[in-house]
Amino acid sequence: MKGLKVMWESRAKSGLTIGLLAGGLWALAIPMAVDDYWLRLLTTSVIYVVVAAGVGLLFSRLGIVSLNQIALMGVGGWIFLRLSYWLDAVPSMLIMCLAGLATMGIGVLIGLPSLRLSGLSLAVVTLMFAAFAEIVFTSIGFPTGNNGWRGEPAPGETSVPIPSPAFAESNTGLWFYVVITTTVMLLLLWVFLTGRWGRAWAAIKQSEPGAVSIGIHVTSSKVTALAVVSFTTGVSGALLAVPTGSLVSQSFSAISSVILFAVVLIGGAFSLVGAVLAGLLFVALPPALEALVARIPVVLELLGPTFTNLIYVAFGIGLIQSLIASPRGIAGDLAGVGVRLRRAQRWPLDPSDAVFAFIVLVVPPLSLALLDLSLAVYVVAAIWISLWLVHPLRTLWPSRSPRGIALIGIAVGLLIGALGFLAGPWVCLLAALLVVVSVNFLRKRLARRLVKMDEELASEGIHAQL
Amino acid sequence: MLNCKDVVVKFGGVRGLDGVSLTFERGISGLVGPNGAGKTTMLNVLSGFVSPSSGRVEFDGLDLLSMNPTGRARWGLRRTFQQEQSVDSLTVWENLLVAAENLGSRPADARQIADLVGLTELDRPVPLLSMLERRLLELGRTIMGRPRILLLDEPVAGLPEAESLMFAPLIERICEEFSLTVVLVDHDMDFVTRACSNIAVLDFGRLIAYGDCVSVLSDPAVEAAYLGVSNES
Ligand SMILES: Nc1ncnc2c1ncn2[C@@H]1O[C@H](COP(=O)(O)OP(=O)(O)O)[C@@H](O)[C@H]1O
Ligand SMILES: [Mg+2]
Repeated sequence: MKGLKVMWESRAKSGLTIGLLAGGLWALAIPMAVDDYWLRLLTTSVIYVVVAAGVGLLFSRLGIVSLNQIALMGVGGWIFLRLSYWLDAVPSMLIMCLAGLATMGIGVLIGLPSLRLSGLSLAVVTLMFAAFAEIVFTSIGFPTGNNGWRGEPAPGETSVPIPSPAFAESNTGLWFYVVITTTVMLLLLWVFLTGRWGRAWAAIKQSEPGAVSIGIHVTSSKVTALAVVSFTTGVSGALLAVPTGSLVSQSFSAISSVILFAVVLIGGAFSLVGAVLAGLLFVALPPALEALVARIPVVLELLGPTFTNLIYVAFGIGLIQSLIASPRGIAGDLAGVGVRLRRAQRWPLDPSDAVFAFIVLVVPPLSLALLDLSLAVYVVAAIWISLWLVHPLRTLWPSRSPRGIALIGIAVGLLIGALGFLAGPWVCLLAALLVVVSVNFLRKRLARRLVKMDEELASEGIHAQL
Repeated sequence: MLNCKDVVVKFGGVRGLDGVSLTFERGISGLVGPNGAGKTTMLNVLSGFVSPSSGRVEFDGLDLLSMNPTGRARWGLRRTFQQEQSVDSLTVWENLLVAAENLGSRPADARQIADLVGLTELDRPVPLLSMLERRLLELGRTIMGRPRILLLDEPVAGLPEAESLMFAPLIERICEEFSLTVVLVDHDMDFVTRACSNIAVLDFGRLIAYGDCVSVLSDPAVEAAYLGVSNES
């Protein structure tokens, strides 16, 4: 018995240790590696990781589609700003917890429909709350350091921001403060997920009658989940207000809650790794994409200033990809890549994976935005083309080894990249299109072979599972 | 003694149960009948998933209908489902643990119950289990804490003959160990007669026979029901 329990706990704990270790290393490395602009951006995305984790928990464990989590974050921020004005002698850590507790109450209250509704109707109700919150935030605004319950400057008065704490003065200090608070919040969620409540949630997700028949109180389990998630979400809203001592209502629009939900599905709702990815995608991808598009004059001319809306298209594509091909999101597929790497029999990337889509869709814009090198454009193009080629090439020559195919793909990719570097971007683009399209065309003609191979892969997958 | 009196269940205009009065003594009793006879509905009434429109259900004088389903489970009224309900996203051990935690049992007891039903390698995820193991796990989950009544809805459905044979002695052992009142639902007469002393037969929501195996099996109404002929004609 004891051995069994130890084994279980050690397995869960080793995942935690690896996560903490890797997270710690990243947390130390990032302030050294990026400039101030990106550090602030990444700080914000870390704050959103907690909100994403909450959205993922509600959806993956209880099937609750909650489209009001950003609004709830705004509630936490609002309460935090007001409390820090009234309780200016109290440490901000404590005020954040108080704001979290107050948000918990409101979150449970507005979550009550989830006890009776489910699916689409519940989603619509939560969205309604998000819209309501947006209206309230826009009309009463966020408090500043002025008097009155709304904390708004009276006519003739100037608005005073809440003074931010000393650690928030430097970007690096703020980064570590946010990383540590976020880690504590994620640990809190982890404790619930892997403990008694997490198991009860899993049973409810599987089947409510089944859960009831082993004595689980469905209502109190759901309320507990809502409470924990609302608390952490409220704290992260407070965290968002810490650096500048103020908030703007535009950050808490209803649409952003919807987008966050989509991004959580893309990143992976079932794991905390997925939440980290979702936070990153939600905050850092839009500016990265903008920075990339701003470098391509044609797109700018074509779309004008509305090109920033491209991010919605990107998230839409990502959502479709994850709904069709990878219900466990990038995080789930990353685990799959790990398995394939260990087995070392297959090319570890597959175009049906979210990981593949992530590398192809996200890495190029991110790296282009980060590295200001024209050569980098072509290196990234080369990687991109190679990745797109590997799968079609494999179906053309199923007998070849995966590594050989990968080498061919990389060689073609590099060739086109070099061509682009020498002859200009248009040549590169045309060549890439030509090669990818023609290989895919040939592949279509070998559809029958493809079907056979997919069957083989499927049976291989089944054996792997058994 | 589990006592049902004039239980009526209406689904719209259809009567799922039509005034059933029955007494299950301590030990294993069978509840049989052709498909759609109302066996599952009867278990749903007993466990609280369906409220009868009239009638009483008592156990040793205690009114069961006044408790909600979770309350009944915690009190000791346990059931399995026709469609087995183990949690796929958890391991075997966690499945036992989650039942133990909510039915007032300790992890050490969960371990003993795993031994009792014969489950090994508890760290496996549930999707890797065989059908037999899933059924054993489900049975194990129902006897955590302090069980008093056990309702089994077709516990051997989908199992091959050889495996379902070993189920009857296991149920007998569990029944004895916890001195339970067991209601065993199945449409397979052979299996039920092997495990039970008393058998109740339902057809179209009515009780058409009740008694020991021999008399029930020779009852012409039962024969008619099992041949698919209505007992009124
Ligand atoms: N929730 C329900 N709504 C409507 N009709 C139902 C419901 N549950 C069962 N019934 C009907 O009640 C009758 C008895 O069903 P059931 O108890 O499941 O039979 P079985 O003896 O096969 O377990 C069937 O005719 C079935 O269609
Ligand atoms: Mg049935």
